[in-house]
Amino acid sequence: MSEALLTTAERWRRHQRDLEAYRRRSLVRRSHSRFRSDLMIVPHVFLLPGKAGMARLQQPEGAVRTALRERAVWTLDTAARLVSGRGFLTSPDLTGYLAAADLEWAVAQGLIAPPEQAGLSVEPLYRRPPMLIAHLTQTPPPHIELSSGDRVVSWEFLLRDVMGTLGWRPDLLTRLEATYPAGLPR
Amino acid sequence: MIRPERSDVLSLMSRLRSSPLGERLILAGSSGLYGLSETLPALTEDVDVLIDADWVAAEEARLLQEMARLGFEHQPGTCTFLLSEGLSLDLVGYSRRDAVDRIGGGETVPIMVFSDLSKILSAPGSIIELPTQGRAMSSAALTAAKLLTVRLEKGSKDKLQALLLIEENAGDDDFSRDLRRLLALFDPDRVEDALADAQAACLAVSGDVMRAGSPPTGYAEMAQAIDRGLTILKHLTRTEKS
Repeated sequence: MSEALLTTAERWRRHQRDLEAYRRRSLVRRSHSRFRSDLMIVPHVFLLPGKAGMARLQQPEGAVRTALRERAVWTLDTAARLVSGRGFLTSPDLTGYLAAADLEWAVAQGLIAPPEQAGLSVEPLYRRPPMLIAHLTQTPPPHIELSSGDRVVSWEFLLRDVMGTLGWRPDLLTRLEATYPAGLPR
Repeated sequence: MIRPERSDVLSLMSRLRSSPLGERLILAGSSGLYGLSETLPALTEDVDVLIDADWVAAEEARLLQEMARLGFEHQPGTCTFLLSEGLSLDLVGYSRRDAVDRIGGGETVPIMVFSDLSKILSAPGSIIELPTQGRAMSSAALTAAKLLTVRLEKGSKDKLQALLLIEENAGDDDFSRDLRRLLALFDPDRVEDALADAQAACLAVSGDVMRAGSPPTGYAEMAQAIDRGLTILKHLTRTEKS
């Protein structure tokens, strides 16, 4: 009997195995107290090919961020650092939403090198120079403006970006929630 | 075994419909997509057809006789029937008497009976007539079944097809109402798990899209359609809870 043609008894045993494994998977999910609340998050793919690109910083990170203050809406690690003083990625990149014209402006100003596509990741497995990782859009996502003048994605959109970029990370989401300033809207 | 074209499956269902078994066979599973959408990928080599397992238990000889008359050869010990040209048809059981997983059917044609399908098919409106003739699960019924199906190896495929069906039916109030009504038949924990599975499948596609690099194909568009399907599903289940 070929692999494709299982007897009904074999199908039954496979189904029982699947149900047993599924029960365990369900229990693991539910062991996280935030399981139910995170179910409502719709992941957003920040690194969507064709929309996202990265460019090497040509000036110190702080200078680039300040220069792009009125043009970029920061997200992921950069947003977390700005709102809570603590990020969650090891690579010292800037991550944000920009209009294509603003990206070109940043290149023209000598803030960044021309954009590149290869190796696009917020978690590189190798050491690389700091990058601006930009998701190009004419319509910025929902955001708030901090007292510094920097703009960061809203709390809800930050959760969507984290999940769409790094997967479901209850540990990280819990830490972000704990360090997110109470004074900022959620 | 051959991978059938949509036209092959619709033609088969039309032929079955005009046979004495026509009232009893319902197109379902991934092959159910052939009846419901011209664009969504069925991604299957088999044609899954639902049948009342209790009827099979009582009328097994008649089933075998009629299937043989239609050109199908039964494969011993299985619920599979083959046509000489290679098309494979699997019978999948439901019951109107109970809603438990079990092996039903007859001694010669044992059939898996699924509790979820038994519940879904017992609800009104879950079975439709195809425009090309033949019976099939409705879009909402197939979506609910796919969301709730537990399969370790192929689980993501089921969820992605469900999300794409939801997206394709966005704006169809009847579909939304029926899907919400069908999901309400199940324990809230089951629906939560289904939602978590759909979210996980969506994340897997997001990862694929990111790894795939610059997409000349419709891959990114499909990923966005899946996102939209998930957004609608979450809205539906949120409304259900409130």
